[in-house]
Amino acid sequence: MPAAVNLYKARKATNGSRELFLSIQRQKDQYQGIWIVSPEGKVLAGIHDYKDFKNGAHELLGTIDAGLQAFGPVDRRRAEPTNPLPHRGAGVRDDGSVMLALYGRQMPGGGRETLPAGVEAGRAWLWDGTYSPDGPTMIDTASLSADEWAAFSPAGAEVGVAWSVPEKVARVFTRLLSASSDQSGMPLPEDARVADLRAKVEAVEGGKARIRLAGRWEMVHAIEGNKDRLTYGAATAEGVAVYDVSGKSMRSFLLVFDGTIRHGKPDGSPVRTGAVAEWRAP
Amino acid sequence: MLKALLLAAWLVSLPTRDDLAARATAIKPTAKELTWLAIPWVLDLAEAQKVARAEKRPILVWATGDDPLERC
Repeated sequence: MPAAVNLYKARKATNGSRELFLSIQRQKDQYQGIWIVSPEGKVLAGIHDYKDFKNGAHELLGTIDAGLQAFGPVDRRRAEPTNPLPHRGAGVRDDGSVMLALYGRQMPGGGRETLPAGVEAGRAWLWDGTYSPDGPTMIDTASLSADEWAAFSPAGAEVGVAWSVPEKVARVFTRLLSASSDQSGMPLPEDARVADLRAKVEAVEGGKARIRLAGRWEMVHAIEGNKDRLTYGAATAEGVAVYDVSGKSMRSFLLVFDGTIRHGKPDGSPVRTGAVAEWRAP
Repeated sequence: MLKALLLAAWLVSLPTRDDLAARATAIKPTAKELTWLAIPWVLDLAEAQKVARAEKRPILVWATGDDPLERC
């Protein structure tokens, strides 16, 4: 029975989740991670720190096996695939808000012709080779309220209509300047020193306006609030949104980021990053 | 006329939707890498315990400081 929970929400819950979660943590002391727990709440196995990250899947399977062995015989569970977050990257919620699906990754290579401004000539070699991922993906979600989402809708459906997206909304995307999945490394909206996102209607065809998006961000983030552990990020983004003019609704949204992140100092060795924010109507 | 020429020149210099989609595909995880999202996760611990009791099976509790399915 798989459960995926936010431990801070579990600790505040009033439906019994709090008591169960605190009991689990007392039995196997780990801040977060995986526990195998009997229906009565007894911890059978658990894992948080992996001995070897590259073999992490095997270590996790070993923990699950240990938990099942401690539990005893159990029938194979027949469950259908589900989507517990149907609005992630799709559709509009009842209150008019949307959830953008976000992804970020270290993306070295791509060719020196894509070298961004500010990268030293001596480090251009980091852009040699094919543009391809290095390491796992950061998966994230960002909610925009109805008003924030409306900032991407054109005031008029004529080619050339242009506007600036409010800075408050542009700042939501600051997190995409880092590919770190750990919350301590996630840039916050207030970390942005530049958050500039603009939109322009480039075509109107078949009752749909195609909106071109372009943006620029710069940020400085202190990991865990520690000013001796700073990361410096910069990125540009290009994208396209499609808007149904008569229906007054967005149909699709895609924003692709290209950036660099430096650890420790503003002239530290740059790591190229790529990120995506996307959404579509159902 | 000048405005139209400038707009046309600007459009020619921009990546197409296909270009952007290709870059996005290079960055995003593959469908195989996202298979774990299709596991029928329950997002509430008390609800998971209720189902586990009914089905007489253990719970796999995955807890993080974020919502695990929204940010990881």
